[in-house]
Amino acid sequence: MTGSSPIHQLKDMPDFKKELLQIGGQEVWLFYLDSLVDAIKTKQYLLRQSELLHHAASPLPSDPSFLHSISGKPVEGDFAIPVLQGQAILFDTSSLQAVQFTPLSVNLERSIEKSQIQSVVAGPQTAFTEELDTNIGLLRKQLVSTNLVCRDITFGTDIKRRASLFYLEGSAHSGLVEEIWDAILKRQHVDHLTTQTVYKTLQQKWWNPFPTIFSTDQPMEASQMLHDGRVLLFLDQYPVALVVPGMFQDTVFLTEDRNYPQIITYFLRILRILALIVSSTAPALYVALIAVNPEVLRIELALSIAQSREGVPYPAMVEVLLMMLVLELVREASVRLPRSVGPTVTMVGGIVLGQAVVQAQLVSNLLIIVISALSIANSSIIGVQSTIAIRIYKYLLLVITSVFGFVGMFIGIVGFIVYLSHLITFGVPYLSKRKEPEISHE
Amino acid sequence: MKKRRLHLISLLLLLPFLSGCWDVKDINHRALPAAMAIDRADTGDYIVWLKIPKIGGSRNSYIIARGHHASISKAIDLISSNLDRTVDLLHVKLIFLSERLAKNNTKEVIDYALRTREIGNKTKIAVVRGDMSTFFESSHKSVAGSTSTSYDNFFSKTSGWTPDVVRSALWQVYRGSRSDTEDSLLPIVKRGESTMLFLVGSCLMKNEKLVAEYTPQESLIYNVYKGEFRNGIVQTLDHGAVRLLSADVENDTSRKGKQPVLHVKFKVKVTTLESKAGVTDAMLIRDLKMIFKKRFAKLIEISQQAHADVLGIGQHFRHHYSNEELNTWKDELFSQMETHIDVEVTIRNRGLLRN
Repeated sequence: MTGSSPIHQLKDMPDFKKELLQIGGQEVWLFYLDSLVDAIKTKQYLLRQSELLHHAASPLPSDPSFLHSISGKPVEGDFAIPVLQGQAILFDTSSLQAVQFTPLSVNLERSIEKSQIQSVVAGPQTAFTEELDTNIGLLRKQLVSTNLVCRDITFGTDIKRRASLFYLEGSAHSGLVEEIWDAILKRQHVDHLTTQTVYKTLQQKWWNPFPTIFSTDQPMEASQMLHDGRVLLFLDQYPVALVVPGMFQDTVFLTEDRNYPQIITYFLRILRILALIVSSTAPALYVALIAVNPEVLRIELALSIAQSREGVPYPAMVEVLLMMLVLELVREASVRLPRSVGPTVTMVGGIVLGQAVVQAQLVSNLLIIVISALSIANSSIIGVQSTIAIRIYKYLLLVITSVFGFVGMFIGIVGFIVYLSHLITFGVPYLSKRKEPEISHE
Repeated sequence: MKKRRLHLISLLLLLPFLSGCWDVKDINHRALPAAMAIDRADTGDYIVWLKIPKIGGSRNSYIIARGHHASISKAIDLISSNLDRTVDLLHVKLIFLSERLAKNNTKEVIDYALRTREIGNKTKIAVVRGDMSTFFESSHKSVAGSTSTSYDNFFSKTSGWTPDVVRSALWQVYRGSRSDTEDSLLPIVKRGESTMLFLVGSCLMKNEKLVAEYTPQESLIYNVYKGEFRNGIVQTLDHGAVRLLSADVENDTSRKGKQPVLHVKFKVKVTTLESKAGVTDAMLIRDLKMIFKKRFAKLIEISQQAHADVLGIGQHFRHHYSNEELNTWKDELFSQMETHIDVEVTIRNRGLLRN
């Protein structure tokens, strides 16, 4: 074995294998990673190919005809990276030449399944998987168009991560595409272990919880976004397409809605806008009505609320915070826990929230109704990130309302709108209107 | 520079503490009176009653708290100090003033109610005839289902109100006391025997004093003139009864020298509810015209004698007179006013009968 081998970095890896093979009467080294390559099948395949070519004068691994038959290509210099990427290397000791080819690999992918993040009612049930090529395949299948342009890139110096940028020629603004591509190139050498660094590349500010980069795991949604003129970024090992730029309407408008008659589409969208309003203002409204501005209630209502709060020891603000904390914990727990234990949390949470707390007179009946309305409304907003962003916002609104009452609430809402309007990603305002695709009624 | 910005930000962060949420009181720590009654004792002190619905009690239970002091606010404060919660006048829907107080002077009461900011400007005001100390007891065993909060319904267009009842809000009474060309009209009620309240009529307030009275029938015409009426009014005549469907009033003003002249035209659309045998439409119309003319003339006559322009007619004359002249409107010009009344009646339908 040659000492000055470029593969010395790989030597200590337990799954790195080097084997001596007889191909066409020649002794050849085969390098591969055991964990990525199906060794037995690959060797069988190599030997079969060499036998097929046996009639020719003993083929060398670097022989063009042999190379052709295994669709390999010569590598120069360091071949550690191809090996890490799952390629196999044939090394000819006599000529010191190395050839790389794609071996038969171990299957490490999940098959295409239903979406785990967004559930689909009307529309294709497939969802993106972790594998980049599968995702690209799914997108190509969904969007059959010659205008679909793909640009490949590998991120990182130490840790390599593949990524693909997609846009639809003619739909996407060329300036926007170039701007995004430049931003990506500028940070190409950053190691992207998690998606957070990619978000930074794509101009999502760290202090901004609202998704200026929208993510979807549905090919239909992704192709619609492309059609709207947006740009898609797929990351290897990330089962979600990143849509740049994200817009506020993505939190209430879903492409799936358009699989129904239009009137239903509008109905669903209005419903989600209501959900957005309820989930952000419900706790603030409660505190404002109970503690700061009870004069806006009708007296009958005021009396019945007062009755339900009779004996509750805490001020309204503390009461609301207490229940919201419990609710957040239940939500978090039900995500974290394995599925077999999940229902227990729901049940215990339900009983604790709904029954015991009221009987112990820790909170009022009305608050339970408010909290459940809040959590239901919050769940009908699209996208996990938008949901969490609204969850954060409602606390801010709660604080300002508990101090200033209704005036504070309106200031909070106006501030929210001001904040959203100042968000701009790659020159596209967050509140701008997304171009609806042309619908022909003929 | 950076330090200055930091200072600025920390100052801004301190801002919320300025407003103060320490005086925020939860709803269950407030006593919410639904109605308030005020009388003036012989000594000149105010006596204030508050009707506070009991929280957690049965639907009809309430507390009547009484305070006695030289000032209204102190009287309420005294009530508050005897309760386990703060009296909060935010939900007061009605203020009852005793007839004695109304005849004396209501200025202090109206000014207080506007100043405190706790009482809504839309709060209704009524004058009570009879003994105030037993007044609230009357509705004790009143109409089934009525609670201590139903006073509001008595004056609410969406429930018990009929156009015989004059509705006057706090801001209207205040306006009446300050305006050159308008006065206010308050309803007069008394303790009902079996019903919640008993309607007596309405009273004209001039310079915050009770000066004259209208009967309920006259109050109805007042409401029609003011556009405050609802379909469902029954108007009885010698020959039958009709329901008012719509009423339009046209005011035409002019001046003869210094004397104001008013032409009023009522355009009334009605439907027949009852008619005696042999009564024709023409007879009904003639009766109705006469009734409107007579009653409206009576309205004007009473208010002219009292020098109280409760109908707000002076508003229509504002462009005829200078500001100096309008200063004398209530006392001089209004009483000289010449009135012509015109009534146009249309019978829109006769119910389901044929004739």
